[in-house]
Amino acid sequence: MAKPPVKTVPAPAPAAGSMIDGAGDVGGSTEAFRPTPLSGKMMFGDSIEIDLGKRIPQYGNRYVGAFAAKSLASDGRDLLAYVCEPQFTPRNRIGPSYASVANPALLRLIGSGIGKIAESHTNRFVFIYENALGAPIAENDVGLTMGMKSEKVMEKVVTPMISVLKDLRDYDIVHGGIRISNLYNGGKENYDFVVLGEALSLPPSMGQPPVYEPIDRALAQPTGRGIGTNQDDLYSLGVTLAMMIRTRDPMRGKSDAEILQNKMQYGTYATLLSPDDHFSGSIVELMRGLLYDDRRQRWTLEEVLAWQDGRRLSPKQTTKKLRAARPLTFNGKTYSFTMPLARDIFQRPTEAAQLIDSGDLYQWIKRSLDDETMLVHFDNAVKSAEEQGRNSLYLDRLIARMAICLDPEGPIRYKNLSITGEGIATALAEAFVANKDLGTYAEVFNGSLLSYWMTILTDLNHDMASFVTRFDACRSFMRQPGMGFGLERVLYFLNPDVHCLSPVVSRYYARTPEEFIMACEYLAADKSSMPTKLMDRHSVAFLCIKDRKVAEPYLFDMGANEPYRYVMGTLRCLTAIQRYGKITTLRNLTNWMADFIEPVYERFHDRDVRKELRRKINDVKDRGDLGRLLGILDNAELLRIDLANFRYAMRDYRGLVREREDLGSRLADGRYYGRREGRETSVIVSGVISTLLIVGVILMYLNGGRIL
Amino acid sequence: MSKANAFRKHLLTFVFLVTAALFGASTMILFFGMLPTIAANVVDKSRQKSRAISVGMMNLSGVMPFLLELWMSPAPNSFDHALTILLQPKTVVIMYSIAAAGYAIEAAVTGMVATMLQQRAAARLRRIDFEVQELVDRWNYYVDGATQLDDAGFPYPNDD
Repeated sequence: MAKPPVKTVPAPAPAAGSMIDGAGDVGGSTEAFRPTPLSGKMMFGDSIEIDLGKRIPQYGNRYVGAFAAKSLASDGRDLLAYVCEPQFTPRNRIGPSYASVANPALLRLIGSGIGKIAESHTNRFVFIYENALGAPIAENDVGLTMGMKSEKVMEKVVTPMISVLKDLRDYDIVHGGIRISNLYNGGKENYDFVVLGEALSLPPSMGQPPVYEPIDRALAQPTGRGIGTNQDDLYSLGVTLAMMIRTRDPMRGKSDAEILQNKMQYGTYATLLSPDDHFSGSIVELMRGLLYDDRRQRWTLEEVLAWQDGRRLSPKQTTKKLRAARPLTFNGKTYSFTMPLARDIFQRPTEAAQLIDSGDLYQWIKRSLDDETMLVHFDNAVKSAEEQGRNSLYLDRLIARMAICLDPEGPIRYKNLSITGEGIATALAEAFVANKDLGTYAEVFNGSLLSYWMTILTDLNHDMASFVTRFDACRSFMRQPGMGFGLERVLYFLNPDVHCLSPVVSRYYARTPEEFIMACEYLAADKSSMPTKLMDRHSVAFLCIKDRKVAEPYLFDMGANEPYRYVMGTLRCLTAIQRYGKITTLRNLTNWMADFIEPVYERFHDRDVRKELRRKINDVKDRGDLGRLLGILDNAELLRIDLANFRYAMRDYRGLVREREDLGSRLADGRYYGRREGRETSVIVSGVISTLLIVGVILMYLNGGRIL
Repeated sequence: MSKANAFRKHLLTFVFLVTAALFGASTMILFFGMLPTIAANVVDKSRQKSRAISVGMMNLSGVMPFLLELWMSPAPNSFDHALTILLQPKTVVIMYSIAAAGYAIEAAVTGMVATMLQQRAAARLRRIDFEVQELVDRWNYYVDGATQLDDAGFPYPNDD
């Protein structure tokens, strides 16, 4: 029975330039990226100076510049510094373990951390490496046909690279940057000392051309590929080896999209290696093992090591890629596999809507693919898309779910996003810094797309437990609109590597609450540069994630509209950071806070109390101790007394006004005011005088006197 | 008026008339001597009759020497002697002058006291204005209670 057609709302026309960067299409947002021009000297700690005027183009890439650096210690050795761009979050947390890897074929990391440009008060994250790369083996990665002898490649490249991958695996590190242009000769001729370059200065695999990435990751946008696994490194190594030994490029002159399309249709091995090329030795076996598109078939590092030891590997159980009995025609092209169809319906939503509406897609899955599981997923996709009603976003929701239904292991595609489950974090960070449309991300986290994706992959026996926990937490953050929550909280929750992106302190590259408060201290040195609001949604969300005890108790205050409450929340939060971070002196910040807390004075009714508080604050503001400021202002008893006194003052005011009105009205007619009292006084005066007269007369008569 | 009160009033009137008749000479001096008081009582419309009292007391002190003159004479209750006293100009001048002094005292003291009280009230008004301004300066304008205040005693934002 034919499936009733799914009704969709009319699809909006695809926006110009909305193609997904890296998803097999050329163009996209990061294509236009230009590194920030830097100049002057940058200091890394006290002992390494980076000369920003000396860029070394052959070691850098499109996104991150490599610069000459020099140790200021007695050895004075030359070093290499990668100065990261804020837009692309570097993998800064794995720096220490990466530095512990001691393998001659891996560029040695000397240190990583904040580099400071004193003149411009700008900090950047930098990786300092030994300057031992030599020249790149190839200048670019595309269309290479080096035609090297397989024995030579085995000896000079395969052996050291497997050793590197083994060491990285031991430290639980995925390199994410294995490609020919990132292999160097170590300063020696004849590939005697091949060295693998750096890959930490960008989000995982971002610098990799799509051809070096497995299909599912190549489909995702470069910023949204996610960390991946060692198997992805092995795949990249397989591609690198193929380019080294091949003499012909079967995809010569083809675009990334066409190469990807070919990979989806014929597999990576057949795409990269021409049948006319004949290779000798066991390298063919290795390349076949590494270039399997199906992860389950692709060799693991253990299998590579076993192969290296000369063991013959038993073939794995293969899961045959589902091929349709009859191809589906969509937009003038025919499809026998679902993966390319998933990509194309995502890129052509209008036509895809007609395909879904007409019921052709459902019928194709049912009759030509005969995949019951996919049919169930199809039904679930429609139901899931309808959950939030058939509003203007319905079509986007439906297409996104259909893409997952058709290509469950591919990236999550929604509107202009194409990201893996891991890669959503770095893509979000990039979107924040580059001021891209964040609404799409909000829709992803608020809607049920991620739930649908996790349900589908769970059905297909993928372990999604960590994703479930993470994305549930994200959804819960999104539901709370206040300060410290929302998309900013999601950003810092998913991206432990990302620095605080608050416009106030972003140039200081603060990664911890202590660095945040020190950034504020530097800022406060110039009071005119201080913002009216120090704590914004970014700062608060950042602090909540980095150390919840310094921010979460004060979220209510910091999110309040009343200025005094906001100021007190800010002061409490900064004080907590200073206390927990054991930072002894913050003189500039304390001085600035003394002005910033003006609204708190206004919370006291009594002008004299305010004056007294101001005096006390002035006494302590140069000591650099925010706790002292807080101690003076955070006084509930003083507030209570002030309020009680204010009530008394109101009562006094009322009494005075009443008296004034009474007196005024009586005094209004001066002829009568005081006359009663005057007459009463005159009675007394008359009485006294008359009494004296009478007594006098009586005495006079008693003494024989006479008046007549 | 109850019967007992009416009887008491009548009794008192009777006693007064009898006494006046018995001491006719003294009554005659008192009547003519206290005429200014009677006039003041008629003129004074106030409830307290303070002017009549002031004039009356002074008037009485003016009449007292002549009553003593009568009482100390050989014929203390003689109408002739009383008439002789009354017919002397000096008697009338003294009695009525002292009654007039009562008028003067009443007018002067009343005016003086009223003026003084008015000045004190005006000073108090100025003081009240000052204290009210001080309260406003110290506690802000809404100390007057005319503005609706929140629990913390501050005006609601829209009242500002």
